[in-house]
Amino acid sequence: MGSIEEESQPSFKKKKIEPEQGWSDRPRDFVRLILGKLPWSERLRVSLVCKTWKECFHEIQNTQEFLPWLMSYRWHATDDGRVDSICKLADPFEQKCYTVEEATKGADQRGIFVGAEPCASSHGWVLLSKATSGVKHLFLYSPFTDEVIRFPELVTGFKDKASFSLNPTSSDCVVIALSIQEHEKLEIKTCHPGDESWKSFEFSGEYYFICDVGYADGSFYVTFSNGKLGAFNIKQQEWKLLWDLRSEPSPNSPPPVHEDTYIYLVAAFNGDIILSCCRSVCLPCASYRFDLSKGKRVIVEREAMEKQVIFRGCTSFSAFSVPAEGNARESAGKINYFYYNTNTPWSIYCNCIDSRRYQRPCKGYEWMEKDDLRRIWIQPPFQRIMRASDLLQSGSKPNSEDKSS
Amino acid sequence: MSSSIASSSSSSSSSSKKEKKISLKTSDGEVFEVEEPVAMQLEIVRSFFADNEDVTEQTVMPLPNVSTAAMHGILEYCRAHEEFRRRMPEAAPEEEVRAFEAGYVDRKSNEELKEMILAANYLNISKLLDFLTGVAAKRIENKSVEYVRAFFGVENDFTPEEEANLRREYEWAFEGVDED
Repeated sequence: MGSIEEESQPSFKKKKIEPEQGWSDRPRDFVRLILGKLPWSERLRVSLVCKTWKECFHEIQNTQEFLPWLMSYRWHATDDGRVDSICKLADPFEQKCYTVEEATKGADQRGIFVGAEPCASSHGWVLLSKATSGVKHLFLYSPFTDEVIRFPELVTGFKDKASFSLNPTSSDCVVIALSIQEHEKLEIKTCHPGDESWKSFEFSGEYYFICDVGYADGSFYVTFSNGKLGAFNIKQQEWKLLWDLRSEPSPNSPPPVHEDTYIYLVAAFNGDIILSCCRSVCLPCASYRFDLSKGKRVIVEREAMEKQVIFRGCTSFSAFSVPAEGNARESAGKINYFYYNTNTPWSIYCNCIDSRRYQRPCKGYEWMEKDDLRRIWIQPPFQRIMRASDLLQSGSKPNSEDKSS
Repeated sequence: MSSSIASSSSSSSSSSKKEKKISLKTSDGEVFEVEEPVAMQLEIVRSFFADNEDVTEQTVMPLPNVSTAAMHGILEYCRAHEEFRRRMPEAAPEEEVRAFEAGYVDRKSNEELKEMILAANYLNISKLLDFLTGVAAKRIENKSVEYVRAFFGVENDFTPEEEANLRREYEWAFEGVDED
């Protein structure tokens, strides 16, 4: 650098300077800086500016928006055999409501939605189930892309549950349908998007009513009314009974769980499966974590609960948690759920996990107008928008393990 | 406003001893004599002086990517922040900073804003760059894709089919966008 006196600006020549640089070929950092300051829904729209912007959209980590959105819907059959279809998305961050659909559609398109019940929702997709005369139709719907993926018909009993697996960044998806068969056997059926038939498995054991199903880290976890917890590993296609609360050795165990307790599962954002035990929807719950390595139930520390916000579904109990960060920070340690009464159908309630006191409406959703639409939580696909074609593609990949079994 | 801040900072220092100034030359040849603590907010300047032991007070540092107009805007911001720092070294008077920043960008046209973002990026003033990109984000919020393209002068490289498909994919996100 001693050349400064001979040459007036040596160090600048090293940096390539192109004064004519415009905005089209701006370094991505720039686009990322600007996109990163927009709310997700804005960012999504603006990503259509050009290909570079679209690529940058996927590179931005969400640091502000953690509260799930709400999907509100109503599907009514009209007298002339068509379907009045309403579907809306509510964004708690922008406090904005988007209309996905408000139209009368043909029965071929929306007929399946009439009377369908939501089973689970994950990363922008909702699994819906519709029973007609002993046959069950399961289908996935994404309000974000307005697409439907149908699955083959199922014949199941009434003690059944369904769920599906989806990860934020991979389009691998499996739908699971569980039912209790004769002699208290557990039947598990799985299907990838695009498969023409279901794969069946049967496991004997004393399985009563299925309480809840939740997906975490490659396995579906299932709780039963007689205090059992089991897991079905998708890859290995193996069922394992993990825990039976009735046979739990008592001295070092947390307080026993009452017989009439409903055990629902919370798929925690950090990968834990939390067992929430409560005797009624509105009563406080005791939360336990199932420690997979030790094979036992442990109390979830208050601190850990304070780091998350729980959202419980509407029909099934299935719940998930989000980190208490960004716009979810103020709801730390709270549990949010829907409660139906005739004056305010599907209102959102918010409790502290260990208290009976509830607040209504909870932070982030208080701006929403009252309507009689059915509501469910839905986590927007913040990291990656998965389209039906992505899910179908991953489903069609032949799995070598499947063939050998 | 810029001149008042500049003069107040120089008058307060002139009472002690002669303040060290750094000469910066913009793309159109104008030389700015900038108080050292203000100039040091420009990372490119700071590292130039830190890395080169041979530079003297007489060295004129050329900044070929920064126009005179952008330089005025940048110095106004940096001088105001230096003034805040001087008055309250422990914690910046948040409300005052916000009021200054709001007034500061209100007076900037979109063209000026873009030019300053480019300059702030080149001069490596992360605080200013962060602030200005936030302002740009606010200005394109709830605007149509066409508006944003025009705002940044970005060329659309999607084919009409690709764009139509993408728009159909998440139609809901285009609802309620402001008129251009």
